[in-house]
Amino acid sequence: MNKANNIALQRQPQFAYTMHNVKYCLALFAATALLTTNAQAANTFRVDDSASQPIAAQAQLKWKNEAPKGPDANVAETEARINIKLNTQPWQTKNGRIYMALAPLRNGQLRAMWATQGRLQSGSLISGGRGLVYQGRINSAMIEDIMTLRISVDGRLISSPENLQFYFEIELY
Amino acid sequence: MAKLVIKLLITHITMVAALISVLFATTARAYVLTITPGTKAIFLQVGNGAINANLGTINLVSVSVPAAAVGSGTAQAMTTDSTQAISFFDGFTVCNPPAQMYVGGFFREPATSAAVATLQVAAPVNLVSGTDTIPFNRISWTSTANGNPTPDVPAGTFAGGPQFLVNIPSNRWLENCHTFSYANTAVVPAGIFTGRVVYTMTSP
Repeated sequence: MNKANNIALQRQPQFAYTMHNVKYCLALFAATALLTTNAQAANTFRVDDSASQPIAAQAQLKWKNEAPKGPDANVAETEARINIKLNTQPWQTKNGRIYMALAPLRNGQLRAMWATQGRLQSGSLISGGRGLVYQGRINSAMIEDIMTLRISVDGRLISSPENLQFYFEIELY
Repeated sequence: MAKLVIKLLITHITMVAALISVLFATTARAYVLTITPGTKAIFLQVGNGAINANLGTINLVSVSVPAAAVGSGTAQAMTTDSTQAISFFDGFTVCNPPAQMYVGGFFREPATSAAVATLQVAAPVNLVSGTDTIPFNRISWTSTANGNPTPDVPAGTFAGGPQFLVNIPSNRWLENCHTFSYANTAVVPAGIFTGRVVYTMTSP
């Protein structure tokens, strides 16, 4: 009898301890998730590309098909060359991923594809998103390249000049 | 539990710090590329044509009415010297020359507005042979196309002056094939009666 009571007395604290562990684990998981999110945000920075300049400030769209026919009936395209100069001095000797990003358009979506001379990576992005241009150790205070940017958009949506605001951000890892 | 509270508190502090760092980080400048709209364009093809080219070709629509049938009231089908059978829209054989003549075009605009181009045709009052005349309104046409029986450019009769045919919405190709006929309702002197019809497309 006493033995049984003893067993019962021993189990109650064990159960309570288990529930406590579950709560603790959930809270710890939530805290870890928050920390991870914050860690990512804390490791992402805008890159100063104020020295970057398009070789021509304006690029006129041209209809891919002059006539409105086919699957690309209303696609308009243009091309521009950009002198890219990224000030990476703050992250020198660190490992990072650098992305080029584009703010959302007023209307619709735009696709940008680019080719480089090799210092940066070729890639593509959709307006409102970003694309990888560099991954690895930051070896210099400035990363320079000439980017040939090809823009593709529904030409009906661009009825007046539109300023495309590209920017760069770095994620450290 | 005390340790957990402290950890969460640290988390919030970290989050605020991260937010502040992001706010400061967004002050970096960025390059701006300005893209300007594509160009407006209109394209109209009547008879033989070439895509986006300005051809000087003027096709002929004609009929030779046998003497015994002149003024019989039996409409005479006309034929054209146009050989345009395919559509430049998709390469599909839309017309059956010489019975039919191609009429089509588009209005290209960098906008999603409801703007339309207008297609009209202008014929003189009369077909002329020396001093003899035949009213142009004796010539009519039907409108159809292989694969699209809808008369997008509607059927009609020449009015002997400018007349509206159809609105063409922006960024849409519209086409049909016209089959012309002469009403043959009056006896006219022998001769070759001619007149030139001009199709005009106008964009806003």
